[in-house]
Amino acid sequence: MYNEHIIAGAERARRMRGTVGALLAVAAVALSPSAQAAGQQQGIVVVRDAETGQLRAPTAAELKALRTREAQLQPGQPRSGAMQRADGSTQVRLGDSGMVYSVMRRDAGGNLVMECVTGSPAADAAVRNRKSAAKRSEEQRP
Amino acid sequence: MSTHKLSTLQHAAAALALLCVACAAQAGATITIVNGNAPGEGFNDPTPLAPVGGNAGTTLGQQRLIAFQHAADIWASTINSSVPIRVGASFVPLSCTESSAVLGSAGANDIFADFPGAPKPNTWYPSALASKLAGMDQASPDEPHIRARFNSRLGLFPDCLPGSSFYLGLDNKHGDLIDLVSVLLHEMGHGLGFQTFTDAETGEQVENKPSVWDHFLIDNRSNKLWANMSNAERKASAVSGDGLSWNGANVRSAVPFVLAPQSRMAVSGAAAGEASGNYEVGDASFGPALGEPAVSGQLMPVVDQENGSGLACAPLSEANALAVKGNVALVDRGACGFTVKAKNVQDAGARAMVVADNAPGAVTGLGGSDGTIVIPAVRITQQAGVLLKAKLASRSPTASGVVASLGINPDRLAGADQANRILLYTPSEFSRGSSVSHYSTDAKANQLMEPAINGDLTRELKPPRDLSYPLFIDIGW
Repeated sequence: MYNEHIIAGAERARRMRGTVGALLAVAAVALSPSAQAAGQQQGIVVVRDAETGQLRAPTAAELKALRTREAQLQPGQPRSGAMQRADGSTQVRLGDSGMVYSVMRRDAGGNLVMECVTGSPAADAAVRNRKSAAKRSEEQRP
Repeated sequence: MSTHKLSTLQHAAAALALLCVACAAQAGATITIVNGNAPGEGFNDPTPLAPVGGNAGTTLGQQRLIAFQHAADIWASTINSSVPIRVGASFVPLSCTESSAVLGSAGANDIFADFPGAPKPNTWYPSALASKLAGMDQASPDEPHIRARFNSRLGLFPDCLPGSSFYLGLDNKHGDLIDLVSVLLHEMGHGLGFQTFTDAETGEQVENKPSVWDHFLIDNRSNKLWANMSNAERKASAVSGDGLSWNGANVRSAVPFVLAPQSRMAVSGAAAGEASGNYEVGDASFGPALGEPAVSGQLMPVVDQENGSGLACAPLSEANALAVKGNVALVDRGACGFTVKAKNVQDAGARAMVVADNAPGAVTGLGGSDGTIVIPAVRITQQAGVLLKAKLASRSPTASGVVASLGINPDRLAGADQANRILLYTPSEFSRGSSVSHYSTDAKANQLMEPAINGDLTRELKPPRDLSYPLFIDIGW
C-alpha cells in the first residue's frame, strides 16, 4: 500500500497549484465536499479570474458552462435495455453502471487505503467512507 | 515498437472539439486513446512541468497523456486483436474530500452477446473482446470500447487528498505518490474484461444472460459455476470469504508458477499442550518473507502493561529484552504501528515477532514499511493469542517450553484454494465493485488485479509474476 508522506507531496502540490493558478484562465472549480456529495449538482463554484488571478464568483455564462461540463463529465448514464441488432446479436450500453472506480482514502492511522468500487454512487460512498476495503484498512491500522 | 498518430473526433455528447491521440503497441493490438478533454484542460493542461521518471512531457497535460500511452502500450503488447481498441479518456474533477478521492474509473462501454464468432452463446462479452472475437468492430465507430475518467484535481487542491497526487513518471519510482501507470493498468484491465457484468450483490444477470466471466467462476465448495447458479446462490458465494475460485485452464496451469506458498506458524514444545499445531498467519508488508527453513524459537510474551499485555511501543525493559532475546516475541496489537513494535523487539534481540490481534475476526496482514527491519513478523488471531498466552503463563525469564516456527506450508499456495485455483475477492461484507471482480488479497505475490494497487507491483501482466494475462486468455483474448 501507499504510505502517507505529507510533506514532500504537499510541497509538490503547492508548487503545482501556484502554476495552475498563474496560467489557467477560468480553471478553478472549487466545490465543497458537501456539494460534491450531492452529486455535484449544487455547491459553491468559484473561478480564478484570468486577469487578476483572484478567485471570484462566476458569471452566469461561466456557471452554465461549468454545470454543463460537470454533467457531461459525470453524466450518470444509466444502463440501456437490450438492443437487438440485425445480425442477431444483442447489445447493452452499460453507461456508468459498468465503470469500476479506484478510490483512495486516508484512514485514521494516516495511511492511504485504496479500493475498487463499481458505479458512481458506490464511489461517492467510498469517498465519504460509508464503505471501505475493510481488510486492507485493517492491515494498516495499528 | 509503438506508433503514434493524431486524428480528430467530434464528441457529440460533450459538444467539444476533441483532440484524438492514438497510441499503438504493435505486438498484438492497437489501443487508441481518445482524448476527451477540451483545450487547456486535462490532457491539454498547459501547466509546465519538468520531465519525470522517463516521462518526457513538459506540461501536465502531456505527461498525463504519455502515462496513458505507456499503460496502453503495455496492454497492447500483451493482448491480441485485429480490431483497434478505443479508450475514451479524460482527466476531470471527480469526487474528493481532503482525506479521500476517486482516483479514476474505467469500464466497458457496451457488452454484446451472440455476435458472429461468439464462443459461448447467450453470454455477455465486453465490447473490445467481442470485437476481437468477431474480427470486426462491434461498437459504433464514434463510440469507445472502454471509457476512462481520472481525477484532474487529485493532490493538487486542499479538498482533494492534498499531497497525494499522481506520479506521472514511467519508471515505477513513485515513492509516496500514487503511481498513475499502475492505476491505469488496473483500470484498463477492468475495461478489457476483468469483471463480471452480473450484479454480484443481488446475483442478477444482465437481461438474464451470464457474463463470460461467470463461466469460469466456480464455487469451490459446491463445484458449481456462477453461470449455472441461482441468484441466491451467486449472492451467497459473493460474500463467502474464500468460496469462489477461478476455474479457467490457463490461470490454473499458471498458478503454481506465480503464487508463493502460504505462510504459517507451527507451534510445538513440551508446554504447548493442546495449543500445538499449525496456525494461519497474516504476512507483514515489512521485513523478510517467510520461507524455508522456518525461523524458530521459544515463544516469549512481552509484558509492559498493567493488564499483562505487551504493546512493545517503546524500547523493551531489561526483563522483556532478556525474554525475547534469541526467541520469538509475542506482542499485542494496538497503540502504535506494527513496524514500531517490530523495531523494538528486533533491537532487543528477538528472532521474529508474532502480533496477537486485539479484536476478533479473520487473520489479516501487518501493514507498514521500514527497511531497517530484518526479522520476520506475522499476525495471529485474537483467539489464537489467548490460547497461546495461556500456555505461556508458567515460564522462566528466558524460556516458555512453547516453540513457534514461522515458515511456509509447501502444500498450500497463498491466495489459492485446495485445488490450487486462485481465489477471488469475496469478503464477508460485500463491496460493490471490489467483490468477485478481483483476485484475492491473500495472493502472494501481490497481483495487479487485486482490489488495491500495492506498491510492490512490477507492471508485469504475465507469469511468473502476474496472473492477469492467463485470465484474459481464458475469457477469449
